[in-house]
Amino acid sequence: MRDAEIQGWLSQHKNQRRPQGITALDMLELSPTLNQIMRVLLAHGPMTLTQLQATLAALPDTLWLDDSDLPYALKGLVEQGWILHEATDSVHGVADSAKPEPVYRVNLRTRARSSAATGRLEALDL
Amino acid sequence: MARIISVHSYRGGTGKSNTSANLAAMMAVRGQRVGIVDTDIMSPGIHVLFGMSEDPAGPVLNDYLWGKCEIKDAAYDVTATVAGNLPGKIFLVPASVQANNIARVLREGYDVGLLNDGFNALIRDLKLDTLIIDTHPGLNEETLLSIAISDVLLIVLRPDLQDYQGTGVTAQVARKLSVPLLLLVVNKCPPSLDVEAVRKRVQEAYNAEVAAVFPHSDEIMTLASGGVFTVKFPDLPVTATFKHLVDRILQ
Repeated sequence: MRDAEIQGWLSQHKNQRRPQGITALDMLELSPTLNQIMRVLLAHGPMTLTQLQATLAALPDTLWLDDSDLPYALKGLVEQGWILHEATDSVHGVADSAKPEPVYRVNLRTRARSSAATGRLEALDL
Repeated sequence: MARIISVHSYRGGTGKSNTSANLAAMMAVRGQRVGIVDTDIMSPGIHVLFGMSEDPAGPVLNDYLWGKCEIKDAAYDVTATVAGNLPGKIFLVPASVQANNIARVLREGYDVGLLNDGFNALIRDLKLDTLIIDTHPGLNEETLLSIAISDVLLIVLRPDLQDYQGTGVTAQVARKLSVPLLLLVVNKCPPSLDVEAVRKRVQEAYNAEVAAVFPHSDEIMTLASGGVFTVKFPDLPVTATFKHLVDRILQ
């Protein structure tokens, strides 16, 4: 059971909700098990719980040998605002049946504009 | 399942784009369908190695990031520019070298999530075996994202103290992000240095595998980015080293 590890991480980060989404920098703070979830979702796109479980289980370096904690970990990440749990019409371009299973998607924050002085760029009139 | 490889260097001028292009070529020689995305949006250049003009007739990565097209529309089949009879395919998504477009990225930024969605779409739509991300030097948000999603991170460095320090930082970040395979490539090694000694020293310094040490090559310098050297010079020792590097990645 990874309960303690996940709970520990969530309680440490309970005041760091990211309603606007996360940055890759935030990922540096994740525990290895939670990091693996995020990496899979980023690399493969939105997934249902079933797809995520299968993908994690197929990884050669999987940290999710027992995926019974996965829904709990996902719930925590959704509460943090790091991932979204949303209904969709299709997953990976394949239309689902009448009632599609919701998917998990990483909530990446839109990149802030460069800290390079905007005024100077405008003065260049490019 | 496609393999994602990020090619990164802490500093510019290490030969990152050359490494990406040659990796793609050697993989296509083995029948792979390879995509390359030039995410070095501030200073793009890999298109030159594939003989593309600085102003392609169609859309580029910037257009996708600004919502003007799908990413597959910005992917160009450049296989024939490398060699006429490759069994695989190479698709390149170039970035704009127009000053106003680069300035717009600096001014407005772009949606990193969209870039990530683009990687997924490219793998799916072009049925890629491998996606190579040619990153921006140094560490920024987009680079971190590329590293985070990679199956393989290739850090290219020169035998230079500034490169050594920066590489240490990147290697640390890669470990924190649990990248499955971290490989170091030492490039432009002066002939006066012993290749094996350099390999050993770098390997020990970072506790990471040095997958290749490329000696400085006059032939490559003379080629001056005018092509993909592993194809132009198949008999060079440096090409043989590249084959070993590809073997290691595909292992």
